[in-house]
Amino acid sequence: MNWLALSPVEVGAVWSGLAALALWLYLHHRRPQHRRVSTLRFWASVQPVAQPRRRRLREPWALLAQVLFLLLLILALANPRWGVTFEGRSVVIVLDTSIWSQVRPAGASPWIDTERQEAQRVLDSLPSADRVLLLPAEADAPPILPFTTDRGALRRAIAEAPTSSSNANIPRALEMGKAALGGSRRGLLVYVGPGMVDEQQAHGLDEFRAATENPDDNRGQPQFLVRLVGGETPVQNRGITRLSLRRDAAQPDRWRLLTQLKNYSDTKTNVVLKLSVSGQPLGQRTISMSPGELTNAENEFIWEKGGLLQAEISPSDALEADNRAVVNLPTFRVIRVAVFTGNTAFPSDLLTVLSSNPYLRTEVVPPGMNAGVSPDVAIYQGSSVPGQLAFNSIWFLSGPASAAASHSVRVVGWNTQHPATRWVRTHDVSVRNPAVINMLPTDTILASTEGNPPAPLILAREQNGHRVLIIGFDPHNSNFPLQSGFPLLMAGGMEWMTHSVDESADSLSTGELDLPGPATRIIAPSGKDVPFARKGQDVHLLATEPGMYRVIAPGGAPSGETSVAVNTPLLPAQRMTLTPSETARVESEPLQQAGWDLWRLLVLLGIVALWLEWWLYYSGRENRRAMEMRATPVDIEMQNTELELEQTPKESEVQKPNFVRLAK
Amino acid sequence: MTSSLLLDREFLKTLEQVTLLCRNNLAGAVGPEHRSRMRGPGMEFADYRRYSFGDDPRSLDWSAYLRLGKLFMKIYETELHIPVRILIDRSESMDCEGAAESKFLYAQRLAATFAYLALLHLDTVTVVPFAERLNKPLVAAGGRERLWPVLKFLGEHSCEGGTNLFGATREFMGNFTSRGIVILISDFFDEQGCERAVEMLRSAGHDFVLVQVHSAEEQRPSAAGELILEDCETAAQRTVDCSPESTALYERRFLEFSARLRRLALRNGGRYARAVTNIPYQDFVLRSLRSGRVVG
Repeated sequence: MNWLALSPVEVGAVWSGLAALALWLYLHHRRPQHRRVSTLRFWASVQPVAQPRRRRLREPWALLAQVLFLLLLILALANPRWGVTFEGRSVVIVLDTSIWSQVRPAGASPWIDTERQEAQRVLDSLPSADRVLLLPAEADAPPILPFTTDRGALRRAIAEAPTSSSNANIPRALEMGKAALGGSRRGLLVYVGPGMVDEQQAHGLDEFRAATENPDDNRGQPQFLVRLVGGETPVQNRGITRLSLRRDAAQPDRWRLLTQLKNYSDTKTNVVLKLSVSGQPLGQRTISMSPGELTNAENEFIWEKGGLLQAEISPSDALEADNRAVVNLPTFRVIRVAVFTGNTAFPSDLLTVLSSNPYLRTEVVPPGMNAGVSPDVAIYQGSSVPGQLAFNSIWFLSGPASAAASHSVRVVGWNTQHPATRWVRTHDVSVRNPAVINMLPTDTILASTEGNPPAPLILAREQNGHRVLIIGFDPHNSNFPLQSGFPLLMAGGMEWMTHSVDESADSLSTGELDLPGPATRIIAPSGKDVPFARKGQDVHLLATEPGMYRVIAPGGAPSGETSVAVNTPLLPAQRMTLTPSETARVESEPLQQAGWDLWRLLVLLGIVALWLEWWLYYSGRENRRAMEMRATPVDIEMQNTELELEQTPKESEVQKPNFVRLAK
Repeated sequence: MTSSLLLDREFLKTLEQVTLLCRNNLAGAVGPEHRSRMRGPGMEFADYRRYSFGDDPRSLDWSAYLRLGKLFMKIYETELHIPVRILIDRSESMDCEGAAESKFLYAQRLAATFAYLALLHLDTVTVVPFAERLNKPLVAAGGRERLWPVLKFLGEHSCEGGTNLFGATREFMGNFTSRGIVILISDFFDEQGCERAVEMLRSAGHDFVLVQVHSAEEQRPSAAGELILEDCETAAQRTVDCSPESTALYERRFLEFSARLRRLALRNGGRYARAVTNIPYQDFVLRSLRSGRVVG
C-alpha cells in the first residue's frame, strides 16, 4: 500500500476533525423557532420542553454513515495505491542554447541543429513512462518545458528552443537539474551542448562530478550523461568582449574608447576593427592577435552630439554574435551660468570656482543689463528671494550688518542625502552676519548654524518648476570659499539644478543584469518585452540578446526612457573533458507491475455511504412515521368510518333513496 | 381579496353541469327546480292511485278510465324551493399561518361555489359569516346573475376573533327558522367542541353539510426541533420538541379529530367533506364533494 498524497497520520487527523464536526452538527440544536398555529389542541399530547434536556443524538446510524463517507472521501484524496508502485524515471535534459550553440562552422550545420538532433536521440531512447524536464544551460533561466511525459510537446520544445547570446553556466544548470530530480527515486541527468566552460565552471563541474559519483552515497544519485557537439576541432572565432568610453576631464567632447578583443582560435589572426557613431564612420585599424590572446585597442575621438557607437570586427568567423558591439555615447551640452551682481568683489570668488569646471560657461551681468542668452542657472546676491523666479538660481543672502551680528558662527549639519551637498564633508566653515531665511514647508535644509535652536543657513527649494539654492551668507563674510567644500557645493548645486554629466559610458554583458530603476517595462533589441524582477528601486533581468535595451520608467516614454547597451561577454573557451561513464548509453529500465489506484473505488464507496446516510436520515424516518401511523387506533376508527360511508350510498340509492339530483 | 378572483370563468362553466344534492324528505316552498317525495302539482309524473272522494278531478286519467272503467288519479312529483344557507367561518384560525393558499380564501371559494350552484337552480342562498358571533348575512336569489353581489360580499370579509360554533349556530337558528340546506364551512377548531352545534342543526331538521377546511401543514407539520407555538386566537403559548415521533403523534391526534367530526356528521344525518388547501378547490368540488354526495 502506497500513500501518494496524504500520509496515514494526516488522513487520521483530517478525518477526526471532520467527524467531530459532523457529530457536533448532529447534536446541534437550533434556537426555538416561533410559530403561530391555528390551534394548540393537537400539541397537547406532545411533551413540552420544560427545561434544557441533555443533548440526544438524532439518527445515530445516519451519523455513522456520514462518518464513513468522510473517511472514504479522505482516503480517496490520499490517493492510496495497492501493490508495487510503478514510477517512471525522472529525466532532466540540459539543452545548452547559450552563445556557443550559435557557432556555424564553415561548410557544416550550426551546432544548435546538432544539439537538437542529439537531444531527440536521447528522448527516443527513453521509455514512454519517463517524465522529462527540459532545462536551458544559462544561469537563472526558466525551464524550457516542465516535467512531462508528452513526447510530442518535448519534441516541439527541443525543435523550437531559441538560442541566446549569453554564457552558459553548466555546473549551475546541472545542480538545478539534480535538485529537480531530488524527489524521485531514480533519475537521469543529460547534458547536451558544446560543453564550453571557463576555469571557474570547470572547477564547479569537477565538484559536481565528485558529488554525483561518490561511492559512499550513490543510491540517490542520478545517472549523469553528456552529449557534446562540435567535435574536437577548435572553433575559428574572434570576438569583442568589452567596449568602454571615458570622457576627457579637460575637454568634455573628447572621448577615449577601449575595445577588448579575444582570439578564441588556435592560430594567429588579423582583424580589422571599424568604429562608427550613428552610421557615421570614425575610423578603422588592423589588430594582430595571437592564439587565445585577449587584447585591448584604444581609440580617441572628438564627438559632441552623442549617439550609438558601434564597433565591428572583420572578417567574419564561425560565431557572428560577438563580432560587433555597441555603446551609448552620451550627449554633451555646456551649462550657461549668469552672475547678476553689482558688487565687483562678489563674482571674483565665484568665477574662480566656476571657471575650473569645463562644463560651465559663466557670464557676469551688471545691474540693469540682461544676459545675452537665457541662462540655465542664475546666481544672485540680495537680501531676500522673490516669490516668482525666472530661472534655476543660486541666491546668496546677507543679514543686516550690525555689531551684534558680526560674530562668527559655525556651519554644521550638512545634509549628505541631498544631491547638492552630498560631497560636502567640511566641519570648519564659519560665517559672519548670517541671514535670517524665511523657510517654506517644502524647503530642504542643507546646512544650519551651530546653536540652540539651530537656524537654517543653506536651503534647497523647488518652486514653480524651478530649483533654488539659498545660501544665507556672503562668501566674503566666511571662510567657505577657502574650503574644499565650496567648489563641491557649487558643482553639486549645478548638477542638481540642471543634469549630471556622464563621465563614462560602458556596455553591459548578456546574462543576468541589475539595472537602476524604477522601470515599468524593458524592451529587448528584438522588440520583445523582457520579464524582470524588482529589487527595491532596481530591476533584475536576464538579457539573452545583444543590442540596445530600452528601459521605460514609470513616467512613460519617451521622457522616462533610457537605453542600455548590452554586448556579448568574454566567452568560456575550454572544452569539457568527459569521463567514460558520461558517454555511456542510457540505462535500460526494468519492467515493473503497475499498482492499482484505489481512489476510484473509494469514491464509489463514499457515494454509497452518502446515499445510505440520506436514506437512513430521511427515508428511514418517513418509514418509521408511517409504521407508527398504521399502528394507531385512529386508523381503525378511520377505516370504520370509511366502511360506514361506503355502505350509506347503497342504502340511499337502492332501498331508501335519501338524495335526489336537483337538476332535471 | 378581490372578489373577482374567487372563481374562474372556466370553472363556472363546468359548474353548470353540477347540482347540489339534498335529502328528498326536506319540506320547502314549492318551486320550479327541485323534485321531492312530496306529491302534488308538478310536471313530472310519479304514480297512479285510486280516486277518492274529494280529489281534484283535473288529475283523473280519462284514458285509463276508458280502458279499465275505473277512476285513477295521476300523481306528480312536487318541485320544491329549498333555501340554501352557507355559514362560513371567519375566525382568526382560518388565516393565521400566512400560507399562500390560506384556509379562509379556500373557504371563500367553496362558499362562492355553493352559492353559484344554488343560484343556478333559482334557489335562495344566504351567506352568513361568523366567528364568535353571527355576522350580517347576505341573501341572494334570482339566478346566476346574482353571483356578483355574493362574491363582493365574501371579498369584504377578513379573519378576526375566535371561534364559537355553538353560539353562532344558536343565533342562526333564531334568525332562520325554515328548514333548508345548511353548509357549514370551518376548520372546526373550537375549544368548546362542535357536537352541540351539529345536534342543534339536526334537531332543527336541516339538511346540513360539514366542510372541514385545513392546510397540509396543519395535518403534518414540517418544522423540526424546538418550537414555540402560539395559538393565533387565544395567544396561548407552548414550547414543544418537534421530533419525528411527536409529529407522528400530532398527526394521529389531528386525524382522530377529523374522524370524530365525520362520524358526528354522519350519525346526525348530515354529510361531511374534508378540504385540504393544497388540493385545487376545483378538484375538491368536482371529486371530493361528488364522492361525498354533496353535489352530483
